[in-house]
Amino acid sequence: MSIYLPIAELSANIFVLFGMGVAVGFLSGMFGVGGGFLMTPLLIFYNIPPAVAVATGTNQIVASSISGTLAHLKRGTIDIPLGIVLLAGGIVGSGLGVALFTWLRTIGQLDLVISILYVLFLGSIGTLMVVESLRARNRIKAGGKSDVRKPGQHNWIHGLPFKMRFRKSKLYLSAIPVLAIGFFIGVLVSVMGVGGGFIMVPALIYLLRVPTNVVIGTSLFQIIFVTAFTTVLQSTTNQTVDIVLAVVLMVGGVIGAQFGAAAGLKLRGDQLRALLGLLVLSVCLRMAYELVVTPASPYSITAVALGE
Amino acid sequence: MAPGSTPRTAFAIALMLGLLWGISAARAQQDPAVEPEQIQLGISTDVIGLTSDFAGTRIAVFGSIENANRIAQTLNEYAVVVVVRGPAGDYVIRRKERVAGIWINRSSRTYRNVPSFYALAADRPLEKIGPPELLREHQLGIENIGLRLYSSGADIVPAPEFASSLRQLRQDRRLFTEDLKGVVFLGTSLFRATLAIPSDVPVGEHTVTAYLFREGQLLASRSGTFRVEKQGLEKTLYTLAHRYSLWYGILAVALAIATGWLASMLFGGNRK
Repeated sequence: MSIYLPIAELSANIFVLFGMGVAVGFLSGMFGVGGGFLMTPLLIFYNIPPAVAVATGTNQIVASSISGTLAHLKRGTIDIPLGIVLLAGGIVGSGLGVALFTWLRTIGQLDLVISILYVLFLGSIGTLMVVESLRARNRIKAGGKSDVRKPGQHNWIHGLPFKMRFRKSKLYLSAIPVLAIGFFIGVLVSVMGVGGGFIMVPALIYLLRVPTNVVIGTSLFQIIFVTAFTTVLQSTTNQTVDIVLAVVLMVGGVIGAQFGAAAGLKLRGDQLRALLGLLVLSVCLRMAYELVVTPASPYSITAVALGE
Repeated sequence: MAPGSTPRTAFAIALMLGLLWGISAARAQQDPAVEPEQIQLGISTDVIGLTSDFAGTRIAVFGSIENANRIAQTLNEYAVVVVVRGPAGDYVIRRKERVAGIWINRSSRTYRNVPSFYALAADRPLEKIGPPELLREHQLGIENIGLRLYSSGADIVPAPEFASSLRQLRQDRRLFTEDLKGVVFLGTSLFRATLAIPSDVPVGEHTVTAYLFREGQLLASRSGTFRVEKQGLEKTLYTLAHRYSLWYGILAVALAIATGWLASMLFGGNRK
């Protein structure tokens, strides 16, 4: 059964779209990730225009981050002040990202930049994950623990001015690196259509030494607001958010996530990370392949409005 | 065509056929040598609605030749071309080139006032209808669609591959079509043209023009219109997205929050 997507302006199979939502939801529930970095490429592979895929992906992440955030809120594992500072940086970054997105679109390089960013980020993060999980496996074989815990040593970041106290994280930290991380991820949110958790979480752990138990909750908390803000901004600037597409993906996503969460409990941490790493790498390879393979036609057509 | 409109459409077609027969029969009584030939047309629909399950349709254009010369009719000298043209728009054609192994958009050309949709139906090959100059003048045939290069200040070197790629890309999506058997004569002076409307037909007012040729001469032409519009929820959403984009964005976020919240209520907080 086909469904007409009013913003993408094409008919697509509703079951394929719903299935994509369920599949990505399953994986995100299983691995505890947002899934935006899988959803947006999948939509692009399914011939949804990249501009619509990115903006609609952002909208879908709002839905998938809500239930996670609510759970963390109940457990009290969110550092709200830290989240708000990240969010402040994120909003500025998202604003700049949407402006960049609009400009790239007018010069016809948006699709290329989206693909290259995906290849770079997915490639490096996927490799890190696989390597790290292999190391963890070796540690287990040597009789150690499977989880990584870095000692709370100080680095150059802790010498910066404008210090703030984040009680829940037990940190006394400069606002500058927090804002910078939020800003950088805000740009990625609007250009790549991701939540950015896959960069936020390691950045908070390794750069800011935020305790692991509040990292995921805080990251999810600020993702909701940054993606919500980006959705509104994309709607007003580029009109590329397809509500029909978003709703189909969201409903599929939240259902898939329930099954994924149950499946995830049956696997060990290092196995999960290795699997996720491989998945990330395969999406990266597919994106890279599209960049280098000779296209069916080197020409493409875009409607523009020149006015009189 | 929406299934619900079929009986009404059929009735309209029957009525139209009756009228056309009546007109042509009445005119045929008069002296055919005095009055020049005319062409009449009627379109099977005024509006094509794009609903969520729209998968393309066909439209029928009925017409008749008035004051037809009997001898010409017998010799099958009257040729009819029917063209549907969508609202004109501006298009950028970009060409990818390989740079360091990666395909990148390098050069581009912009064309102005190109029909967003072009479907031609004729009763014989175009070269048998009229001389190339005449076909070009009236933009009959995909090759003859006028592509005006847009230059802002500096002269742009025309590159024929860009224009031919534009034609090809539009044909690949069935937005430019040519059907040289698409016009069928139902009698000596009555004809029907059937034109395929694809699922991604552009919205707006489309013009249907019927051209009557005899021995390489254009005798008459006549135009009508139909509208393509999004209908139902699609129309509401599209209008909302473009005219009230802030509210649309807020609605999108509200839906996402509701879905996420509902999910955590339904399934309990068993997620990370």
